[in-house]
Amino acid sequence: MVFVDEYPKTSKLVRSEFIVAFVALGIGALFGIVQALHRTGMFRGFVSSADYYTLLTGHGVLLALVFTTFFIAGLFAWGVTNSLERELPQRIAWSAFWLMLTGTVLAAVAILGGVFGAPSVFGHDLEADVLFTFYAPMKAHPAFYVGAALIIVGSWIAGLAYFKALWAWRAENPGERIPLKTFMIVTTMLMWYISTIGVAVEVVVFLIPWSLGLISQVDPLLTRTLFWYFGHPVVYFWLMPAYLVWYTILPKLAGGRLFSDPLARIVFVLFLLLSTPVGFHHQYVDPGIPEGFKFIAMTNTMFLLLPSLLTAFTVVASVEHGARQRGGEGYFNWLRSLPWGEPAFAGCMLAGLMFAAGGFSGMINAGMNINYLIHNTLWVPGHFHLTVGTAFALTAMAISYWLVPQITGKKLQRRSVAIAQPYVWFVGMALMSNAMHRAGLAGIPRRTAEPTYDEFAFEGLVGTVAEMRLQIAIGGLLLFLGAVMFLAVMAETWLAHRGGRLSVNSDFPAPLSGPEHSPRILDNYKLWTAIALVLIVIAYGPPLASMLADGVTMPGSPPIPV
Amino acid sequence: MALRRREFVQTAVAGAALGAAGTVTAQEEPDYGGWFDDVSNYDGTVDKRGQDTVEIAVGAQGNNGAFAFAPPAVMVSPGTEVVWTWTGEGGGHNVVSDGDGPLDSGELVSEQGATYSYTFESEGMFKYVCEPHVGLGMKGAVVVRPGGGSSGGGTAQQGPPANPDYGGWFDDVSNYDGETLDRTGQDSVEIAVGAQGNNGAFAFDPPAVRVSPGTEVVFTWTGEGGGHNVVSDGDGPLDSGDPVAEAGTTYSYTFEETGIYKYVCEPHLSLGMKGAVVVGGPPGGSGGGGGGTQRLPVSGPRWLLTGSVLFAFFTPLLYAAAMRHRESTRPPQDLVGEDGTVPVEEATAADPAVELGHEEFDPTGTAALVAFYFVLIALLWVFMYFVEFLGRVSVIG
Repeated sequence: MVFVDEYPKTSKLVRSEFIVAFVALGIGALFGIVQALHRTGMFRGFVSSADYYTLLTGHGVLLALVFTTFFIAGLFAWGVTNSLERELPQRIAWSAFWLMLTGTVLAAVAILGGVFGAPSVFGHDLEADVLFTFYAPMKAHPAFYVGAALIIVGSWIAGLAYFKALWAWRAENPGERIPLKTFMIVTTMLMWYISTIGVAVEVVVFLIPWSLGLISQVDPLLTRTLFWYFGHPVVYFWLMPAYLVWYTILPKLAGGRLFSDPLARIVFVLFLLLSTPVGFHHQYVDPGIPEGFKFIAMTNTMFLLLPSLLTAFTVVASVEHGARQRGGEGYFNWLRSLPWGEPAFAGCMLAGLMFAAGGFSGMINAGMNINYLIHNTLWVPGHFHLTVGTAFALTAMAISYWLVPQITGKKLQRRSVAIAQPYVWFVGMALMSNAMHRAGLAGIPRRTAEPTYDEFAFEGLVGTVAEMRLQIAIGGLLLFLGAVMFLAVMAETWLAHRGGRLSVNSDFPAPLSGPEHSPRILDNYKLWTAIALVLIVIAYGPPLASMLADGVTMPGSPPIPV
Repeated sequence: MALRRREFVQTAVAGAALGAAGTVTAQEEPDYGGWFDDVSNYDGTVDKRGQDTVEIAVGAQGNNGAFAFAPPAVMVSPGTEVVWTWTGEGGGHNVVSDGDGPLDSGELVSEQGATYSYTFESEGMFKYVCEPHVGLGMKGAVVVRPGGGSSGGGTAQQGPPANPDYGGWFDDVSNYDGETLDRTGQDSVEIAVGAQGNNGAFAFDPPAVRVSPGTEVVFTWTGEGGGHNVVSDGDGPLDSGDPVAEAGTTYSYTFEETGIYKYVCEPHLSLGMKGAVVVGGPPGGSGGGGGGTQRLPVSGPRWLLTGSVLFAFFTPLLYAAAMRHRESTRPPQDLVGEDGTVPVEEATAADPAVELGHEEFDPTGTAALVAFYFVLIALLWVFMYFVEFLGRVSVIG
């Protein structure tokens, strides 16, 4: 039976989450192409350079916060329902949706207010040019911070729905192992609860009162630290759903079975333990944080490579199993017998391939010494366009080709466009990201509308700066085209008539090595959460204590612009 | 938005430079804690933010004699040089911080024209006194605070009124029709030199134009009417030099300060070849009531407007296309069930060509790919470090 018929209520919830996610994707992609053409100097007629930051904020918030969170909420709702075989508690799940939507509208209105000339609303200029990282002392309209807080709180409530479903399932199935999808989702949410505390405190305790004028100053270093306490785990909040897709759906799309269920569980437990106590690696050049604290964060970050490398192995081995079952032979030739013409499969594989490159630049970022080479250069956006911009985004788009027919009961339309779309995205990202990385090595800064300076010219060693700019512009155009292709396929599928025979099915073959081969302790959430908290106290206790010791809002800064 | 902010700062600077600085608003008025209670000439804080140097008179009239600083309370931007200038009246004065502070002009001075200056870099309130006359109320304060704006949208934006009084300047200019062309908000504005008018090619076009502070005005020669030049009337900034006749010659000047700038073409002045540039928007409020409100900023980017209009235009077409497509994909009638819905079914799961169990599967291909990945990232690392980084001039080298 198709998911939409079996679980009509949760299907409707998933559809609603996806619609918001896709609208955010469309607007964010539009802002993206405007920026790509602007900063490369190809076309600057859309906005003035002074408004570049408004669009940059919109691009970052709509894609990295709204698109991701709503898509993940939808995917998780499907995953819990599918693997526990029960509808989600509807009232909780829907209140989470409406809370997140309210937050999204508030934040989006605050950002778009800047595009329209920042009218004064409630005594504050309606604008939010503070970028996705919303560092103090840059100040946005209070609506932006309230919106961000509501999105976070909404995601907490969404997580509660998964826990309630799990508790109900446990009561009916005592002693059974938690199904893999639910295990992954609940582990991800535990990590999310622990890590979002940082940003919640930053926004609710400091930034909202400060933007309202209730407190005159905040300590920028403390609020930055609280942001990055959340800022790195949020990366794993994006990636772990992609991993969920790669572990549980991709092997079947390849025609094989998951290589190892226990390995998948170990990977997710490692993410729960290690995702959070690493945030200082985003602050290697921040003054006021002793080297030792940064060093702890670096070693944790290097440990954090392990689960991703384990994932690379397990997922590739599972896909290889599929290829062998399809009759593939040889050391590399088996790759040819994979279903590259399936949009869902091709998209996930290309996303994984890009992520391997993103893993490389991530290792460079994590190293305390070589981080100085590339800190705040265009290398960094080059890196995260491979991780969140491809590993997550392309996986999300690809799996939509497989999932949306099941939650709507409608056949995928424009299949040929869907087949081409992951390749368009891949080529576009390959051009844009490699040029961004190399431009970063040449010292070209990020977050800059016009990266040109008097009496100074950047020089690329291999290739020229003009060539890099051209690659970024062409890559950006292809990525925008890829987003439009995806949205067109989705829109037409949504508008199509319900019924008939879908081109996808939801059978999941059992893993080659099942959960019975793994120790039960892996399912002990209390233990892992406790260890995670201890690691956080070790990494964050002394630095936060020293930042608070000189006064909670001291040394402080009033809002900028004044 | 930042652009408006920049323009705003420009106007604020210009306004302040004209001496139009007002007093700060009530909300912004610093709390001096009774410091000025016995100062007779204190009447609020004068807002001089945005100026590079600010002058304060020492020995001004006040406190029953020449025993005052004028203005006694002034607000300046960080980095401003404040210059105290002695009037020479009231005997010997000095300027010394109250308590622990940076100001100390030293010995008493009574000569007229003596100066003492100090540049305030950090924010804060700096109270000071004239030591011999502090008992009479000869006290002052400098408040250093960034910004300079909320006080006065009105004051800062103030430029010449909507219909400036040119004082008969255009009486003999044939192509002036009583209108001052509004070109505010543009980065650069062009004026033709040698346009048709005044019985020949002896006119500026437009003769009168209003621009925003910071605008570059470009004078472009048409090549007609012989040699022309552009020179300010009286004491003014414009001077293009000797008359030039070539078409395409340009002369440009960027107007930073508000005001009316009259100019002429010297050889053809008697024919009426005159013009004027008005810098700064008219003060807000139609009656010029002083309390100017900031213009409601509705200048969204043009592409947004154009895009919205195009989108609105094409929406019905898109909708029609979608409905047409939907109609063409209507499922066959015989599939529709009694309740009007069509049953949905999944594709059948394909059986694998070869069934491979746990024992038979060795992921050798994965091992090969992993090895390949490690070789690749090693090469990337070599490329990044030895070629891209060490290849360029490093700081150590």
